[in-house]
Amino acid sequence: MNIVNTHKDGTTIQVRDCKTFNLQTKNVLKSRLTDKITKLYIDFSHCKLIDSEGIIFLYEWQHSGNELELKNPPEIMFEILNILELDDTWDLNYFITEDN
Amino acid sequence: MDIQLHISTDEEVITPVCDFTYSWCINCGLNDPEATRFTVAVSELVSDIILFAFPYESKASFDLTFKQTLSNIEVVVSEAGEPFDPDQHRYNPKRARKEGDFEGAGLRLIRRFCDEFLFINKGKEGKEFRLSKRLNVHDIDELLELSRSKKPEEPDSSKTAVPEDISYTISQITPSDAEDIAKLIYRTYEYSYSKEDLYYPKKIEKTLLGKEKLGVITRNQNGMAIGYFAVLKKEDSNVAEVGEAVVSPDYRRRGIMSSMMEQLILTAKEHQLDGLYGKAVTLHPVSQRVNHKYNFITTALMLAESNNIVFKGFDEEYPQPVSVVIDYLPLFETEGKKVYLPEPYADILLETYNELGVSVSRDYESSPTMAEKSDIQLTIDYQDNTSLIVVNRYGSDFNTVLSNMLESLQEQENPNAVYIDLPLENSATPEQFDIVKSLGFIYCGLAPMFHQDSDYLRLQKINTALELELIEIFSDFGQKIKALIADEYC
Repeated sequence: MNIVNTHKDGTTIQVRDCKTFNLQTKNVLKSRLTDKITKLYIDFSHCKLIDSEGIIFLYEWQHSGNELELKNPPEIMFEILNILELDDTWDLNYFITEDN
Repeated sequence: MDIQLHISTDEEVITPVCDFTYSWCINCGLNDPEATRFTVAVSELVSDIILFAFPYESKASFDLTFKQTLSNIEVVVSEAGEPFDPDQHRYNPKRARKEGDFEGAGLRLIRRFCDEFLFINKGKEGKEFRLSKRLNVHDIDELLELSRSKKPEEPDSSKTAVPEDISYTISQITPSDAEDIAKLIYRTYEYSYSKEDLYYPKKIEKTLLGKEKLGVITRNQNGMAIGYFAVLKKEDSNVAEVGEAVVSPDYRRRGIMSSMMEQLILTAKEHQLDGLYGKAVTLHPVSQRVNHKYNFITTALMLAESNNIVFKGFDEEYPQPVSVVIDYLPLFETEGKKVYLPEPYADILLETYNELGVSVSRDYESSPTMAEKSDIQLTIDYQDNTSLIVVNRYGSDFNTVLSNMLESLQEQENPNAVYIDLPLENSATPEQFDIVKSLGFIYCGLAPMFHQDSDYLRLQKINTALELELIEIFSDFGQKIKALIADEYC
């Protein structure tokens, strides 16, 4: 079971403890978005896996004028961005913590 | 051991399937980044099937088969959804950036994260996607090389006095013998034995616990392992392959190998196996000669069965893929079974049965019963660059399914050889045989009891140039099979 743990804070949805970001995660997250939400904050600290469904969703989210902040995105994400040739056109807002 | 999952087209399955795939990859020997990449590839494929394969069905299902060999892992995904051609869905990064059209992104990732991505169109039977990855055997090779360079010199057996009286005992192997077997292989062959599994006690133990392996071990009076001989049971039939044999150099020429073979045949009979078979290389006749000493009969010649190998004792690399013969030993008398033989090969097949001492009665049905759909299984050997197609049932779609499968295979993999097994106890075989012949297959031989406890006619399609003069066959009957094949190959 892929439980998506989210917390709404004003215009932001925080995704915590995300273990995998795939088609199901994307659809769950989409179902929780409203017009008032303009920012996504996703903590990837425990996430090993993200696939193209997840990445394209995040790309489209940011490129439609919304805000995106990622904590500790997994290595595979950057590899996928490179393969899909999106790395040079996507100014990804992320940070890596020391303990990760 | 293959692992099969039958899953529904529900997005909730993606995470558990990926969790399983990742763990399986790690268990098979991939490192963390490679396991992650391969899992992403599986995730992409499973997501695509859930999203696109069954647009008009709310609930459908598909199958995943996880296969592992020593050097390779493979996931086969089979589904019977809408027709699809991966080549029509190429990812275009410019279109993605400008128009937000990401079509084909998943397929691009699959191609990048696998060593091989194969799409097999099976017509009405649906589609198969094959994702495979090589296991990093180079690291193992390097370790083996390093270890070999440090290893003290083996005593030269020709200079060592052979003890006159040797007492030894032969017993059936158990999981607790695993470490002794690995040590024996090492002491005997250093690191030149072709079956690398035998250098890993845990892998030997696993096959023994899983009852896949049946064998005997010989110990001297001090309990030291001095000989080992084993057979590996086939997964889909009650026969086993004679595959692993070793006697410590100091104890050779004492009849130990013969005693073990005799004991092994007895053990195989006790376990009610129907037969034993061996695949003997044809670059020299030694293995074939040993098989024939124990009444094995050559029933088939498989051309280009394994890639070029540097064999110890040969000055040069063998200049072409190595062909093998199938040598078979029936362990019990069978009552006259009914077989349906294609006319062009009826004589040679009947002769083969006669050589084996197996009585059969030839039958023919003018209107054989056909299944609703064909049931055909494909196995790809990436290391040896060959494929085996096993026909379990013929349906009215047989021609289309087989043609599509072959076309996909040849276009994407171009294997040196494709073998196909046709069931001789199926009354439709003589009629359907013409279809197979028209696709360029030639004779290979009889594959006795090879699948579902019944006999199969094996045919082969060779896509590489071979010099048949280099193929050495020991037995007269084997020579006869070779002559027939040579006639068709040229």
